[in-house]
Amino acid sequence: MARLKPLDIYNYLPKTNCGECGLESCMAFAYKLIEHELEVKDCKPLATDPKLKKAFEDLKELVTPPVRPVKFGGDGNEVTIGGEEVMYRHELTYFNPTAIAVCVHDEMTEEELIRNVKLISEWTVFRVGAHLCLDAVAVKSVSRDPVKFAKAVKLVADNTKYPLILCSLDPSCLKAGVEAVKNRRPLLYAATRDNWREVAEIALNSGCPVVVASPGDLDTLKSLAATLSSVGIQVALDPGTAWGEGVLADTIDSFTMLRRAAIERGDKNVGWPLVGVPATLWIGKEEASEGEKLETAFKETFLAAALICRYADLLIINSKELWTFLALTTLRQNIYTDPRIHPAVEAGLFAVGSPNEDSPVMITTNYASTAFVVRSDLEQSKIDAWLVIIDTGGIGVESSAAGGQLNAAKMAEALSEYKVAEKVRHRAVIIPGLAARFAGELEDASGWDVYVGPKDSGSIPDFLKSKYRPRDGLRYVGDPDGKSSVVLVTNNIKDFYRVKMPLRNAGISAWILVVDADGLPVSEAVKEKKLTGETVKALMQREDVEKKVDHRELVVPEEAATLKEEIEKATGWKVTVVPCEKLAEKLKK
Amino acid sequence: MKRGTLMVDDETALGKRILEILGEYEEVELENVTLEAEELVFKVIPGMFAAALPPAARARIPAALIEQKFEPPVETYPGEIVEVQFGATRAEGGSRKKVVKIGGEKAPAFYRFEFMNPNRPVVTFDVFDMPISLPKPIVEHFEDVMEDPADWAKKAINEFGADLVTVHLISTDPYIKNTPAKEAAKVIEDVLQAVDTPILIGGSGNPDKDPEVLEAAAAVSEGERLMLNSASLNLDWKRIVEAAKKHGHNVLSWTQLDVNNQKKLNKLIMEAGMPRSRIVQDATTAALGYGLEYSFSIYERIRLSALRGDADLQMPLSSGTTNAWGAREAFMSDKKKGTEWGLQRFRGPIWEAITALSLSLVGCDVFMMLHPASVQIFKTFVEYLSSPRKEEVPPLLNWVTARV
Repeated sequence: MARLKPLDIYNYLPKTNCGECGLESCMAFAYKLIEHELEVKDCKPLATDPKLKKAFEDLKELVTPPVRPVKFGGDGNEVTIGGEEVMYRHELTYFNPTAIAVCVHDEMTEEELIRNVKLISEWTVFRVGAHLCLDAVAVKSVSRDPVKFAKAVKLVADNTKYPLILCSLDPSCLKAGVEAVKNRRPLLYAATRDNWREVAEIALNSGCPVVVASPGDLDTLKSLAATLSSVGIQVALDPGTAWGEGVLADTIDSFTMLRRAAIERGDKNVGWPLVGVPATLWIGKEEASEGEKLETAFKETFLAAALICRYADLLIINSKELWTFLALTTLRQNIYTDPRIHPAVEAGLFAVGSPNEDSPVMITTNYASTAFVVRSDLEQSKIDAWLVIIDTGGIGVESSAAGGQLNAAKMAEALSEYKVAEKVRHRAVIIPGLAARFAGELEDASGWDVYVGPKDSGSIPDFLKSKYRPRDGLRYVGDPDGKSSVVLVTNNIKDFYRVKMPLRNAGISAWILVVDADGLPVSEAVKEKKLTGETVKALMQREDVEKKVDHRELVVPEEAATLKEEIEKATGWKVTVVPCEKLAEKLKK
Repeated sequence: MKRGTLMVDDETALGKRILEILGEYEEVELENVTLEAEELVFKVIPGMFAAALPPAARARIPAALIEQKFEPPVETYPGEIVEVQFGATRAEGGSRKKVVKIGGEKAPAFYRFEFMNPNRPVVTFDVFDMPISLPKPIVEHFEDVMEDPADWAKKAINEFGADLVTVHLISTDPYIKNTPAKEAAKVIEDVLQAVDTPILIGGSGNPDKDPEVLEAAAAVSEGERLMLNSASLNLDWKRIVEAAKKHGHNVLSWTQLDVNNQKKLNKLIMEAGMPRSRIVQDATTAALGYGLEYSFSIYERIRLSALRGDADLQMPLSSGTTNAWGAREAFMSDKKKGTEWGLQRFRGPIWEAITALSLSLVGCDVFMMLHPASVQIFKTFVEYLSSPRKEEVPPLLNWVTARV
């Protein structure tokens, strides 16, 4: 089916640019209509002027997608299923994410019902800029007792705002259920070859949409849809969901065939949302052990995932496992992401929190998800940092590191282009663990010290706490020789650069003896006895310092002044105490 | 049902009278009525009409089902996927007892109503030539064999149903152990001795070292028809293709999430003289939650283009599914995330299984995987989908009354 263009729609509109829809022009309205963001009835003149009635009806017909959208739920808590235009997401986009409904039933105790309903409606996880949630509660009539069912439905409704699905093959139960929640406009499950007339009557009386179900028999399914929709009932189609040899393929085939018939063959009788019921896996599991139930939930999750990929517009599941919810809502978020939106975010230097001149500098790529996750991880842990986002064409770290869109030259270029050095008084850059291989090359190309961060940005807080430290040992600045001074410092990132930067900026070459003090700054390391005459002596021996320099003078920052004699005694070297801010001046002499 | 007959004597009162009748009766028949009017205006009193709707509505429901026939929308495709064989038997110049075939599709994946594709998707377990850091749920299953790639391969095949294993020679990376290529190649010999299935050979991912490593590995497994992973645009792929040609192996053409690059590299490899039946393509797998949608659509586009006749894309597809374990949802422990995300025992494997599942549905043929539970459910899924139709439909609607 050819995609509608705004001009196709514009011709039906009043062309007055009246602005009643909230948009500037009728053309803008046409765009919104194509994107399913507005409905035809949102054009007030078209919807109300009797003279435009024909244009109104014709336009409604024109913009109706081959898979019609069906809404259920009331009180402003509606969910829309269906409304799809394409078979494959890359052809355009999928519009209405698969709604996920979770089951409860009327033989649960009140306490059980309330607990489960709250679990379902309160579950949420925040990821990649969105709150992932479930969408509906399906109430099953296990008792087949209309009174009991109505009571359970009422209790569920009182404890959730989510739309409801009333599930029973017994029309008297459905009727009682609908009456208990009249203004909620629940979805009814299900009309079958056996009960369709009574269910159709309930649907017509209440205005509720209906799932027509006919496992394994698509002729009947289509007949049911044709019959119910002929009197204006909105339907959704359940062709049967089965897990097992032969029958699983029927399920996958049915979903594929129905969707293709609707979209590519224009078969209006099957142009309705598709309903998958992975909850069928729980048939006969009433007495199952805890282990078997978990295994059933595992299979159910997997089957539900298959149907998210293959056209289900609504899924009814029974598992209440958190990992089921997490996996299915994540998959749905992926599949229903609009592929027309480029996944790249702007490259550049960004402040996360309120960074200052000592804050860490971190590199990541401009793939939207990656950049977003890194940012939100930092924000959630209240870390102030400078984030350098590299243009990798919207590809994530691992893939771009492998594919060449991320490399040392690009990172070095970004550090200089974004003038990161002007923001900080250190030269430490943290690169993603998945780009570790570029560390050496980047140091050479940029002159920055490279620290390899974790592979997952969730571990950045741990990394900053315990791993973001200069390597201990005899380090250097510039190109020192035997006559160059030796300056002592601990492996605290801030103190290290307090020593290194003034020398670097003044173009002085010197040796820096870095003592491992678990990352403590010099002043605390002295207090905690991590920096002592003995630790200095041991490190000097380990690093063969006496072979590298001809003199025997150690420059010590002011904070370690109290150790002067102790170090002199242990090493036999002369100790000169110098405040960091006077270091350059002193060493120049 | 009550029936009423409306006798009209006063035209102006018609609308009102109809509504009254509708309120009273469930069905109304107009008999011998002639309406003479330019325009009939029905004034609807709110509430009254609503009360009247149900009985009228009931009348509209057809007495019998409008019987319809559903026509399966079957299509044919001008193109088909090339069949690729992993492994060579003694008769074919190798030493494998089993060979594995992939590809040969004439329809999209699992469109059984159109065509039952000849070969199922297969799973290859990842094996490494040195112990590496893997998430706990995986280590639990392999910690006893991680020191020895041959034992590791055996366990994957004998206990966990692997069709193949991929031996990754990661210790050759200059930044890891820098194992010389010749020494690493011995590991391939050991694994070939230990198992009778075909194997796939991976390098370390270091673009400077990999060509040399794969050359050495190809040489020691002359004629076995293994697969060299991989030829990609960021390294000297020609050396790898030459090694595959010279020693009778297949080659993996690997690009990063870009259909055009995939097409370009496939073409270059074919132009370098590699037969089409010895190339598999890998367009890169982004994990569930971490860009899976890109892989999903790129694999789908490649497969559909191939079936529509694009000969440069008609090779079977491969996925590095183990990338799923890089997702924090998969690897983070219960201690850290259990209360929010649920049990890692299921969360990890389902992450890998769904990553494989989604790509299998758009045409991927080979899946590199790590966890026995994800492999098991994925293989069951494939088996169920590849089995013929059953006449009997299970009583699926009983889910409604299942007391669970």
